[in-house]
Amino acid sequence: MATKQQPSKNQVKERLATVELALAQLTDKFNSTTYRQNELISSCIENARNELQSALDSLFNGKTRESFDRAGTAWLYADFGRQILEAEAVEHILGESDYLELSEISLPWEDTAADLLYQLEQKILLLRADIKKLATDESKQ
Amino acid sequence: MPFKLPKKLLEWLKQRTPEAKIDQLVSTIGQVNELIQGREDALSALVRKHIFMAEEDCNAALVNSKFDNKQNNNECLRRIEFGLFRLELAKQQLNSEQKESCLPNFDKGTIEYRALELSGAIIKTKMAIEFNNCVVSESSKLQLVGIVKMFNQAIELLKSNQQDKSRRLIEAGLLLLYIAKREIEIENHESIVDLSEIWKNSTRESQSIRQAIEASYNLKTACSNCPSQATPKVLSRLDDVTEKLHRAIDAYSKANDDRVDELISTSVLQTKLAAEAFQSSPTQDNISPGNGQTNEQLGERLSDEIDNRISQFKTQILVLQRLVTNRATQDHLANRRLDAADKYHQAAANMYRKVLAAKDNNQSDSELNRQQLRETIEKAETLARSATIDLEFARNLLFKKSGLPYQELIKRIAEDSDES
Repeated sequence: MATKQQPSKNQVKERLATVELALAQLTDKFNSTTYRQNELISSCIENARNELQSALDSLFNGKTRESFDRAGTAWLYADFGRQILEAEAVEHILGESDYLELSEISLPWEDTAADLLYQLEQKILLLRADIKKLATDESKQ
Repeated sequence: MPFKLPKKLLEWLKQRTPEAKIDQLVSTIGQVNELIQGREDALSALVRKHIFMAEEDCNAALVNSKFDNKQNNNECLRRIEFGLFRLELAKQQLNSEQKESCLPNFDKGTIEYRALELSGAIIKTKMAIEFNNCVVSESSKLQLVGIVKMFNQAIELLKSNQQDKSRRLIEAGLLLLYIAKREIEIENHESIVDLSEIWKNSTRESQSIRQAIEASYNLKTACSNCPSQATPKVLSRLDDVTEKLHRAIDAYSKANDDRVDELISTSVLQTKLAAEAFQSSPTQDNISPGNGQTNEQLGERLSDEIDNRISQFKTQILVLQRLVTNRATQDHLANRRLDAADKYHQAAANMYRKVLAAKDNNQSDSELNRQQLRETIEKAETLARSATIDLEFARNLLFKKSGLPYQELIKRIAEDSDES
């Protein structure tokens, strides 16, 4: 695998500036959104913020490559959050505000597990009823 | 005459002293402060944060400048430089405000670029679902949530420098997203989104998996459009193919490429066989019992139906096991009970099939055969009851109910069966 090139301090500065700005704008828009507070966007912001902090720490310790990469990771989180926010804004304005939840928060595993257990139980009960019918038919003969 | 340094050199040396640099930092703080005077927006808040942090650096530099040793001097200079860097960052942000867009440039070959393609495809699908008011089943929702989790996991792997694992997980996420999209399209009988762009930068292995997915889902769509022609055998084969495709994606994400090849070849072959069966089967509207359908055909249909029941039960057990693993406190115990429930259900269904076949073939004529038949029915009942017991026990383990102990549960379910 080819080793990554060492970025210049200027490249790191440019990336940090861009990502920080994008994150600040996302945070501002998210905080001013009144129609919905999506937990996934909130966690994207949190993750991006942590990554940016790590990027600055790395830079402070003279690790430019690490700082550059961390800022890139922060962008991935921030950009994902921005896209969700924009998609939901479109649904709010043009659609019926029927949002598709992409995080686990609204889907507690217990509910889904209980639902699956119920469906499995029904399937066994159906089989037992079929077998019972066979037994009844047989006893009549 | 004492030695005297040239005037310009003296000035230059003066600039290099920590005190001069601290002055430079203080004056830059003042300049940046002026740039955001009277502003109250996201950008000015960010710049204020930088100013605050630069002031912290300035204070730390001042403290370090009081000590006359190398270590403190170095720390002093480092804090000054970092404070100045923060302010440069703030200035750049204020300048870039004028520009239309300024994105970090990720090269097409990088994992970051592919991760952006995954997040973009997720959002594209989400928007299409919302815009078209699609009905999305719980399993498809769960799958989409799982893909978002994979995106996050891929970033974590990237952070810990596990490049190959990260790339594979992203590719796996894209393949699963494609499956989810096709499932939702079948559920809603309409095409919702075009994701063809995402394959441009995919790997050779993921391309072959994608082609296998495409073939099987094209057939699934045809079955959904013409349900009377889709026999249980065709549907059961397709379910089997879907399961294999999921396993292939899982194997790909774990870099088990030999297993991927094996699973893909089998699923391609199965899809081909299912397609042949689908094309050759007459529409079922034309065959119904009493309408030219022989006992043999009827028996075959019932047997296919039982195969289908077994396969669906197994799939749901697997989904449940995946869901509870690492979530429930007693997940391993519950999963064992679920495995047992699946085995008992399968055995009971097979016994049931055996009895049906014997009845069809008039094997119950003699008293001896009749006795064997009764015993088989009894066995089937016991096995199905055992499936209920294990499922109930799994439920108790998962939800930490103060449920009955295993032996008591067996007794209770046996009593319930007798009453009904």
